Amino acid sequence: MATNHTDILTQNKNHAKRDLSSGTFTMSVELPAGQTLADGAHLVGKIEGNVAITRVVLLVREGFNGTTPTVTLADNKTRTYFTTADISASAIVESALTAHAATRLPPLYESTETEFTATIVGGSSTSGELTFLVDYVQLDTVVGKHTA
Amino acid sequence: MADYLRQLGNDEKRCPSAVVATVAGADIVGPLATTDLAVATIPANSALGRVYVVVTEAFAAGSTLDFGVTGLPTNFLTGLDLATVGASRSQVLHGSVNPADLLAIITPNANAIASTVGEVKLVIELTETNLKAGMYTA
Repeated sequence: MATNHTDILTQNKNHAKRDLSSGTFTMSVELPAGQTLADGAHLVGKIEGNVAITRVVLLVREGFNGTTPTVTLADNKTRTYFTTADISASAIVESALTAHAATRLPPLYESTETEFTATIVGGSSTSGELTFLVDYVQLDTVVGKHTA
Repeated sequence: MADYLRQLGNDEKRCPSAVVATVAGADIVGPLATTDLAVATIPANSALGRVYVVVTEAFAAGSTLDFGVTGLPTNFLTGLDLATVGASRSQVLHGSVNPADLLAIITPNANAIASTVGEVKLVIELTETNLKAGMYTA
């Protein structure tokens, strides 16, 4: 590689140290005010746009005690991260981040806001808790501005 | 058993961070057009975790670039297609710690240099391993 080069070191916010960000989206059978989690699809979280999603992890913090409980996590970009994952016991499962286009590889770039929907089959669980961890890096170049 | 629990910054909670270098098509035309371009500084005493490149706006057809960091094996990400939005490549760097500042370098091909459109982000994840609390890169 040539050693002589010009630079854009101080342009485009290239010199900023960025904190890595994470979204944590928790689902629990026991909800406030004595409610319980119903089976079906639930909108669990959102992250802003213009980000690179680097990791999506399913953390089963307390196994769901129902009959063959499972959870599916998908987003509004037609991507599925976990498909009927077993949530009957404590576990840490990392998504393969399979891209929805053959030519694209992880990490995943999202130019607009991403909404995450979890579809749960509790199997009549009376206890259980899980958290989805979504790690990402904010790529905006304007200080104080986050893409909607 | 002796311990180092409170020495050398071992009791510090460290937050990983990232350097994000944005390169637009307009940045590498004209006077900056070159075979080699420094895009970001990686501070000294960083434990490098992973580097990756993401195309956020398409460059002209046939545009590619190589990406490397001074002091590490050169061009560990090569031939990234810049003409496809969302195209990305990543490379894990286990155990890389740099005692001095490093430069992130890209080498765009002729089509990328000629392109007036396009944007690509180069991300270097790192954890600073300084030994003194509140002190950076010394």
